[in-house]
Amino acid sequence: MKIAYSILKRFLKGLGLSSYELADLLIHQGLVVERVWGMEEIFALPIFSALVEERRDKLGYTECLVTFQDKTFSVAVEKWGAPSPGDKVLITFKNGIPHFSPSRGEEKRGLLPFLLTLPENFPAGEDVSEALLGEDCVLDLEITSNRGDCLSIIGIAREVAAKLDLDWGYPANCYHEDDSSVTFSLYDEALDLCPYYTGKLITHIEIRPSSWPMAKDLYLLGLRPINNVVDATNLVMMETGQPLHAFDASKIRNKTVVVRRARSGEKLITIDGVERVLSKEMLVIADDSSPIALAGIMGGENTEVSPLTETVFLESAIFDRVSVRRTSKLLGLRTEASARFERGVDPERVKYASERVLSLLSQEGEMTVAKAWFIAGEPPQTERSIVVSCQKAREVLNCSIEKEQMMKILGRLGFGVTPSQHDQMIVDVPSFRSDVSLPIDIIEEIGRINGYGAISSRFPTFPFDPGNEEEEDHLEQTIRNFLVNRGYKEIVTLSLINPKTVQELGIEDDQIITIKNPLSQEHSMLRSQLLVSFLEVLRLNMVRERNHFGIFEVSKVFSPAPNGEQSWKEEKHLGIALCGSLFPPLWSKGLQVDLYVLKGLIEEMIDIIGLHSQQVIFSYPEEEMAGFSKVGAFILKDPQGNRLGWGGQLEEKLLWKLDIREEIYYAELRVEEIFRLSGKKVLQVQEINVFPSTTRDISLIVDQTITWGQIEAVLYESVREHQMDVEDIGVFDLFEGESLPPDKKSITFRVVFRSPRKTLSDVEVEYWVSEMKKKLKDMRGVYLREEFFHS
Amino acid sequence: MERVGAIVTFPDFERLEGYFSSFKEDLVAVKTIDELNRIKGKYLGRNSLLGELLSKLRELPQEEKKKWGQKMNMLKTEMEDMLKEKYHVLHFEKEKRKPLDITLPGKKQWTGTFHPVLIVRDQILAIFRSFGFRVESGPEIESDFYNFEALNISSDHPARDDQDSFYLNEKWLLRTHTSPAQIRTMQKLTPPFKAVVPGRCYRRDAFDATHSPMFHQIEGLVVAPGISMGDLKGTIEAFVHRFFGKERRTRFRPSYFPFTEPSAEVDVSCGVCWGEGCRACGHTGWLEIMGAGLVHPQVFLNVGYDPEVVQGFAFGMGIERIAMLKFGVTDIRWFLENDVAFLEQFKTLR
Repeated sequence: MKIAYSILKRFLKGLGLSSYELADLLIHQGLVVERVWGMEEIFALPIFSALVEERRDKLGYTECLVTFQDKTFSVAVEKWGAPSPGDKVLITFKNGIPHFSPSRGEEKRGLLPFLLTLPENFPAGEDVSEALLGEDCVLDLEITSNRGDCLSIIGIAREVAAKLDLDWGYPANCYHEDDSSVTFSLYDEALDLCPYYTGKLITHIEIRPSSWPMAKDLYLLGLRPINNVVDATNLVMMETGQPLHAFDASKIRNKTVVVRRARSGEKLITIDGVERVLSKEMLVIADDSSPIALAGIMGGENTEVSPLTETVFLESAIFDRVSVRRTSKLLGLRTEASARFERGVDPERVKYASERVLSLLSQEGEMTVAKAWFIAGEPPQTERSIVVSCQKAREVLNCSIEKEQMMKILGRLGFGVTPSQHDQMIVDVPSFRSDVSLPIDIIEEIGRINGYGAISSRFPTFPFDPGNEEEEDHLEQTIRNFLVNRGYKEIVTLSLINPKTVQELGIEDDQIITIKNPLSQEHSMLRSQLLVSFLEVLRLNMVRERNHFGIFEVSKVFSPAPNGEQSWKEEKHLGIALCGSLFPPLWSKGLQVDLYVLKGLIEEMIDIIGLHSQQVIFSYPEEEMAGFSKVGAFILKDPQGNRLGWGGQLEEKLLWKLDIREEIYYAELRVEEIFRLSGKKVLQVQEINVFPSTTRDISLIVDQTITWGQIEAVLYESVREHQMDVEDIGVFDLFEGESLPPDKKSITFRVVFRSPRKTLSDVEVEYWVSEMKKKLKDMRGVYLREEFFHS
Repeated sequence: MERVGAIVTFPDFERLEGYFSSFKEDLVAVKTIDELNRIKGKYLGRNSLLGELLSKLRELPQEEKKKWGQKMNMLKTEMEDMLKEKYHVLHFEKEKRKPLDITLPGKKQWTGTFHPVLIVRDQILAIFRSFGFRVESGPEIESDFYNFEALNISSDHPARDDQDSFYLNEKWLLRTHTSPAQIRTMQKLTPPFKAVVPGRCYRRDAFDATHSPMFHQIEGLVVAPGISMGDLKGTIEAFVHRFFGKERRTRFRPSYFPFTEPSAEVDVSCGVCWGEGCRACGHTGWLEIMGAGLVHPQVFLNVGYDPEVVQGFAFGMGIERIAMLKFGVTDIRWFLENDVAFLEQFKTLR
């Protein structure tokens, strides 16, 4: 909403602030000043051509070619705002770039609502800023949705008056009426959506361009001057906040105006030239056969005031906020009028607004107005009184403010205030403040005008609260710290994913949640696992030739809950992806990541959160895992067989579709399930073992199908059986090749023996080794190397 | 192996002297550690003269045994010391011969980084924890009750349009702010309490430099008897000093939210121009960082609290926005893009 300093002054006596002081005052009262427009270089230019193109959204726009000092600029304006060739329009320059209208919001879309046509006597190509603005300035305000009353000059005047303790008031109206009898019928068939409708008839008027002062006012307020009647209604809307509409009365068939709901499928061409298809819930103004206006939003082309118009039906009414908002949303049509009805207008000023229009028009030229009012319904009663405790106000605002000061502030804002006993006051809420209904609302008003700066700061005083840190949060932090210290980069990805990618990649997702009203198909599903999001990050980095890194994310995934109170399940997952080389493979040999780097990382994590390697078991997937290569996929399970995660090497075929040529290793863990296994553990330090260790290497030749896990299990079985003091068992050589039969491989592992009680003797160790060997020899397809080659 | 002195007799000083001097001569000629090991075997090994003599010591009478034993042990120790010394000389000579090019790049491993948005989240949470706040959480899929109704956002409020929220069905949607966690926290805890809730939020905004359909917020809620705007102001000012720095100023402006009354918008003075006005702050000297206010009485009634008995304040801030201000990030999309080169710039923050 724009206000001009010169116009504001007409409603406020004794305003003497600079534009920046005014802006500062408004900001501190909750009216955001987006911008202050001061004097600028403004030039008048002739227009060469206007060209209309259709847009896909059915809203037309016009491109105007504007020349200035032999340069031609192209401007896109809304169709109804296009000037004719030969007209002079207004252009401003900012850093050498032309701006055709100070309407910032519109500039963003690259489309201006209109070009301001200047009076003919303005010379082209010259500085007209003095003539247009003088010392004036324009403030661009952002009004919060509760303050419909501030979508008017008078509303802003009240705000300034309350702070500066000035007088404000509505200008008195003055116009001539005659007694000639007129016949016009008005029916309000939808009192629920239009509780109050007034009409006034101008029986004769000449339609012509507004005088320059009125056109200038409109321009300053960001509106396009059209003709005297329309301009007067628009200016009064800006002044009072009450939208009005002027119909060409001669085009209203049978002199009948009906306020009613539209019939399904009914059509109306609005004054922007667009045909609107209406539905039953929309409120229209109609004559006795068809709609002539979208109530509270926009008039119809069929009754638009034109240069040929002689009689005018002037509407001023109250329309239901919700109805206007819904209709405006459904039609994608937001106007200055709809914005005001949505936030509520002042029921007490409906008639005043009409009279104000007539007063302005009578200053513009000759006209005759019929004395009669056409009225349906009555203004809704809004009277209410609120008892406010001054002490309570002081407590809430934590500042010392006198009762008199409170009463003064409220009085200037238009509230009726009566002092009452016990430090209380009775506050009557004015008709234009529908947002105020509770004592706390009144306290906010006092605090707002008194200034939030006057609130004295303090700390809440509290009984001691030991606070909380959930074990799961702590473990999550542990994992994040670990991974970052290991060199992994934490990522944050969108939870919304593309169903096409999911389908293309063949990632199973039957349990996926779809968004009913997505912004785009690309982001229309909620992910049930993190992999899809990771692929996008991997692809982007590969495209930018960043090939060596590890990334991770801890984030929620979603699925429909099978059945239960809550219909959705949210679960935290940890995703890890790694690719390339752990060292830069430049002058030294790099260390290429592989499945065992990934596995090692998971094992370390399991270790540091206090879990035993037997609690999180790596196993082969029962079936092929979509997205993963057959040779390198694994499932993580707890001892009961519940799935804790999965991972492996990503399938080449899948990666190629994304133009990724690197090997990628990926794992996804259900961290909440894993943390649950962890439980609370008390760390008890063990005695430091200072006895010497003894190591023995054992070489085996085994069938290709035998896994290390099987051998390890057998070894630990014998460790338990004979209570061996084993510190560690580790593979240190794996070999398959020419010296071995093709179905065999060689595994050498090292056993470290160390007792916490004594130095082990050779005899003991030899005995244990022989027991281990005995046990191994009992396994099918396992041979001791020394025996295999001799047999 | 070559033998020195095939026939052993005791006592024979000269032979031992000759043995020692030939050891010394040999030692001088030694050039490598391999040669040194050979010399060691030749003179001190089990089959050397000294070795044999030592093993035959016990055949001597007691007196002689003692005398020769001492002598030979002294000789042996001296020879061992000389060998050790020579070993050190050779070892370090060898090292000198092979200097490394220390200007070659070291074998650096990957540099890990936390995500900037989560760095900021964790910093903010740490500050509020130190103020005695609890950290709570809430679901990202919310019902319209928690996301809107309980927060006094009526069904005809513009925020409830399909336009602005992602709906899963008639009743459920992706939360548009962390404020529903206010309701959940009040249902879970008993006043007085102080809590913050971080989390992801979703709005139906198309991507551009300052908008994203998904973003993070931190919600704060303090409920206790007698909480006032003064408590809100003091707490937020303390937070701003801790997070942005002591020299930054805080400004409270009236604003409007359906679930707070009075409501405020909090600005912090621009850290680039120090309030003079610059591009970073849109020439205002101030940066908007959060919305706040006292909990609306209706919100208390909605969770069964008596607004006459307890009062409270609440605040909410967008983490991406604060991260953008703090790190000079000009495009919100960089946070979700996860270019590792972008992320790497945050390596000093851990």
